[in-house]
Amino acid sequence: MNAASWIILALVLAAAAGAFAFLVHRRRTVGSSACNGCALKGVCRK
Amino acid sequence: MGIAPSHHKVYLCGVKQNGMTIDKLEIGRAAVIEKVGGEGAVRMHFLDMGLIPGAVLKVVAKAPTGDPIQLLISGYALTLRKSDAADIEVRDPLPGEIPEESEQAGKDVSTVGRNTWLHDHNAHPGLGEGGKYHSRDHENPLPKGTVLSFALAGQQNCGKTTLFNVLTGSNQHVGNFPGVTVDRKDGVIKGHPYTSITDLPGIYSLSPYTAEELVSREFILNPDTKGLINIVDASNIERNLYLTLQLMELGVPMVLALNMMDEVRGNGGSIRINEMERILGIPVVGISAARNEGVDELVEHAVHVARYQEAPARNDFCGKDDHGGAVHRCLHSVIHLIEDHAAAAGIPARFAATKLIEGDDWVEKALKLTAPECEAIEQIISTMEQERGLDRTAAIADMRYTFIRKLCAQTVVKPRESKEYRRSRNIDKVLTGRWTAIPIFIAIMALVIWLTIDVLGAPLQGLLDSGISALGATVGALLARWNVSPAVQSLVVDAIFGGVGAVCSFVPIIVILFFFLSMLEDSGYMARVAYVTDSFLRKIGLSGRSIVPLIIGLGCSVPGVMASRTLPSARDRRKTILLTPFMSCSAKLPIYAFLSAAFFPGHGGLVLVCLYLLSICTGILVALIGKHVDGGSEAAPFVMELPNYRLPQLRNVGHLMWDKTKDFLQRAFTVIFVATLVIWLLQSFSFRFELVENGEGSMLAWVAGLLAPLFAPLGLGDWRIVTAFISGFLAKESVVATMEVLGVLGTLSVATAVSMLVFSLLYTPCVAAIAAVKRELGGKWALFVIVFQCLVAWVVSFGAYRIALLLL
Repeated sequence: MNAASWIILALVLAAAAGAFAFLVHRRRTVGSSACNGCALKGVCRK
Repeated sequence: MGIAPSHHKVYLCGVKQNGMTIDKLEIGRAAVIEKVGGEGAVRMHFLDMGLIPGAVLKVVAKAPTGDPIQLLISGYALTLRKSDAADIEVRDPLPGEIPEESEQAGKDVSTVGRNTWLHDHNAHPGLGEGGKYHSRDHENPLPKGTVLSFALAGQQNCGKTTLFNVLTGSNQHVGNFPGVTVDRKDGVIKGHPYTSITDLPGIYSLSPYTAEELVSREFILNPDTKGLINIVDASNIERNLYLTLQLMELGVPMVLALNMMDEVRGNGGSIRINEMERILGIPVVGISAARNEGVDELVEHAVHVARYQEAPARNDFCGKDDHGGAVHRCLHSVIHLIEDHAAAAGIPARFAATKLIEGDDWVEKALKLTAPECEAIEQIISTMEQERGLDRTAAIADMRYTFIRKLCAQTVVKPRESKEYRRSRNIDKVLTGRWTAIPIFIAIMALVIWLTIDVLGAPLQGLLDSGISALGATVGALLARWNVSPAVQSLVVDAIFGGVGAVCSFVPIIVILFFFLSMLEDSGYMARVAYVTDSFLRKIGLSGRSIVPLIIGLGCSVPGVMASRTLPSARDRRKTILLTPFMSCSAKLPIYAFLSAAFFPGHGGLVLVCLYLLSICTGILVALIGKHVDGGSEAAPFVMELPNYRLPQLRNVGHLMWDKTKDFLQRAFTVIFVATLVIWLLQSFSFRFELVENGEGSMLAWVAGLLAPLFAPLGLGDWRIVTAFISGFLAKESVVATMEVLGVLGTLSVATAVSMLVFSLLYTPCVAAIAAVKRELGGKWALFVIVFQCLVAWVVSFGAYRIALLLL
């Protein structure tokens, strides 16, 4: 693989890592995606 | 021994066999409620909604099948099933008992007979105000820097979320359906950094009737909550104040926001706010949340009462002369008896006493009363029931409404019948008319689907797809020029542009569908759909209210499952949750569009209508089987408020569309992106980590190959198809991405495409929806949904495949 291939691969992997980190962050701050649309979001302690 | 629950006391409220009941009233006929039958939580809800002895009502309409009935009571429209209406005994009104519609309009309330029991002057009470009004004698300010946490409470559809948006500058979606489910969030009040406000769900009272009511009162009673903003719909003030009185009993510093004052004034009404403030002993502010009028003053008062912890000056609403004072004596006796227990449990004594009398289990358990105390309280309550001539729950509801009536007689000039209500009645003649309601509902839903897919969605999707494809081709050419390795080229072109790009091109279809759904909800039509479809849904063991989660499920199963929380019965909730995933969510649209374009060009709309009909029919069949398994038990009562129609606000619709676009793109570039990369990796490499051609011999081919024989009878025994289904469990949008990456189209025929469409339509919902089911019903039901839906999908898909082989 040449340098360009490595750079592009690194960029894609970095983007994937970023996406994964974002998902973990959102899960921690906003809660489970199961709460989306729930009238009790932010209120219930279930 | 505990306090007898209220439904054990029906001997006092039982309906006479030969008495006139609401279900027997003809359209246009007025009556006065004599007795309210029924039992338990349902009866409590009747009372909370203002169906109390002495209330005047009028039957204004009936659903196409004659059931449910639409009533006008206390100036608002309420729907009630005939079977429930049969529990409420009425009599003909006496002369002068029915107020003329415009009798009070414009009339100065100072001419209305004063009640000396209430305050009799109109000096500015200055509650919740600083400056010259603020008394330092009893002040108990919170330490500087304390975050003032507010709860925003109010009945359903009173403009709560609109106020929340104005207060916080947030963009929460606002609906026009009682109990509309949207994300509720905490926010900081603009200009007051040391505050936080939580938008509580809409509730009618603090009875333990629904999960929302229980959760709301626990939230308010939490010591972290420093203040309460109670918003009421001033155009329907009597019923709204019912919740206010209960909130005041909690003893939490609060302000009362009279919303929609512009509408009240526009219809010839007015409210003497200072007098109301003086009588209630809490700050009262007239506002119009939609026009941002009076909100600054409301915030000032709220911050003041919370900072100085100024609790309501009144929490006693029982007059010692009301009906001989039976309720007054009973309540105060119980308060004295439980005072120590209430203090130990951290529940205000007055609130605990009223709830105890109403038969509230939660409060009874929290108080930990001894057997002799329970016995003494039961004796007190029984005596009150005999003296008052009403059972305990009706007596408490009547006590509150008596206070409200006196309060309103002194402070409220009722508006004329509002033009919004008149307009709604005229529209309802067509949209809920006997012969027009169902055809119009079907036509509207068909129109929504047709416009979403064929007219607007497909051209926009095609345009976006061409753009993404062109960009992918350009990038591919660039990579080739730079001599990038074939594996990395495949990663970028096939996985990212082919997978994620293909999914992104479906954004227009999703956004357009949500646009139409939000228009229907915002206009108030959704509530009518529930009203019109109730009798049909009851035949399959559901309630009319179930239609809302089911229709929301057409957009996304997750909020659909969550919307079921507004259903008061656990049984209805469970059935609705289990049926919601059968409603084809919008994330599956890309699959349908993708396969239709390839195998049924020019007939996308027709394919879609057939698929939706199939999902609905399967859902009905499953519901009927469920009803049979349940032993055919009756659905829970249908008691619902019908909001007035209104023009959908573009701002609301715009917010919702932006939210959905953002959410979809976020999913595309996170979950789907990562899933696509993983699938590409697994399908491009063997277990020895060698690059393979066309996926043959890859890790994915091996795993999916294990499951493929199960799909062979459906004509879908190829490992690539199985892989697409597996990826769909993460997110349905991934199915198309995987099909693109693996080149699934080449493996399908018309018959297998039909089979794949049907299996995609019915098999297990995505992991987020399963998580929502698990949250609502528990892990066992979540697992049941996965297995059951896969089983149903397999059976129906098998049938569809065989039929397709014969016909196509």
